[in-house]
Amino acid sequence: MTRITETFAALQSHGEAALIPYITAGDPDLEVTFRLVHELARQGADLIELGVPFSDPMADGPTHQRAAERALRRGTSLARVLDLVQNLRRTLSVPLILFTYYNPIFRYGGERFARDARQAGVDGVLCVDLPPEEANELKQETDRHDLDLIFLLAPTSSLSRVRTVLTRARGFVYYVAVTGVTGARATLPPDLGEMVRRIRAISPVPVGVGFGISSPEQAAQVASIADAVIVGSALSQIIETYSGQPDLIERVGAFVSGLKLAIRRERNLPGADPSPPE
Amino acid sequence: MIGREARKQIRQRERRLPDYLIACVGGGSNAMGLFTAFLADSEVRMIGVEAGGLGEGKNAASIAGGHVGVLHGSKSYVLQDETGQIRDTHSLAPGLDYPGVGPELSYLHDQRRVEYVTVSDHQAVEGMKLLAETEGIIPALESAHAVAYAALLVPRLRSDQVVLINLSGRGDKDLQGVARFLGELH
Repeated sequence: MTRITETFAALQSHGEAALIPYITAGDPDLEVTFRLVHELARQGADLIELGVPFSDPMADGPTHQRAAERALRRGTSLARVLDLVQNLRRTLSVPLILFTYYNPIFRYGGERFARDARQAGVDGVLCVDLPPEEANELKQETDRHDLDLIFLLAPTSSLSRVRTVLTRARGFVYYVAVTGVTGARATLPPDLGEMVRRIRAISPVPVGVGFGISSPEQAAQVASIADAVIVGSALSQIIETYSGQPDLIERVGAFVSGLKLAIRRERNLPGADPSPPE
Repeated sequence: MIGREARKQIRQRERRLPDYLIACVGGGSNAMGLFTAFLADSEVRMIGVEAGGLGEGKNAASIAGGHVGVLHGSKSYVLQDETGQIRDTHSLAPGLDYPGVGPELSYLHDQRRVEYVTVSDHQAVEGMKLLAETEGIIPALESAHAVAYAALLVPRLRSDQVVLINLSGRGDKDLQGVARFLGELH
């Protein structure tokens, strides 16, 4: 059982939805990313997605595009992100998922990547432009090294496609809440609950929902229907705004703890409300 | 379609197949349109002309300078750095200004069925001028890459050899860009 599966099992045993924040590694630089990841974990992140920046991020909206550009300008590469994970793993137990595009992995070499990623302490890999039909080469390697290769489903996925993807799913399946690219949306689609319910009914793995979720209210709404809530662009936005300022880490932490609180409150869990002041 | 038409017309006019096909290659739709109709004719040599732009680091020649990669859903030659990041490209011809090339053309390169060459921005503009002055046709800057290479190749051929150049667009759209380019040179 991988760390991702264990984490979901532990949360599900008391009815809690996972919070999965996403940040782009290397934005504004890898040292700050190191501190941010620890802060995310401290403030309630159950799993963490680390974006490996790519020059042509076709699934990302402007917020993540800018984050990737900043990270690439600082020389962030897949190899350096693996080094970062190795450093983080000395003190961090939260599952880490690399969120990236296929070309950097392909160029690095699928086998070498799976081995190095596992060794560094990566738990899952999400490769947004690698559809399951084309993923056999990489999946063979990630399976061999016990990494969860995580696939995506979209509002446009037919039921037969949902079934196909689910037969290959490991770790969890990532449901893309909206059509289009990543980025905060004012409202989530009205049929989101129904779509997620249908997938969960037949899914052997937990279902996480991401894309467009930017507020504690939306996080709570998604927590009421899904196994995990994934929040990315809203965090990138905070990092962009407070980058280089002394309260950056604190601001990010406060946002994440707000999300966690909203998710726990939605499920009526203990610890949802802060203790009253003495 | 353009390949089937070209094949039919050249056989009507010359009573045989051409010795050379020359087409520009960006993403490769122009070239594949022509080449597909002649792939089985081993006597027909095919030349794909990539955008050499302004030279090293400022071009869009994916086969000449790229490595195998996966971009926009296909595995082909891609202009990229050693960490898999896609490189910035340049060509005066917007239709060639792309960091990848179609997978069929990549395969035909590996099979050595298609030979690839590069032509610079400057040579392409000369190709455009040549066709305008001699035939009264203003070719698109993309196709002008093929014309420019033909102008280099033809003097080395016998007079009975037949060369087919793919002109896939008009150059009216490029005139301002060409004027600016020539202005910068002077």
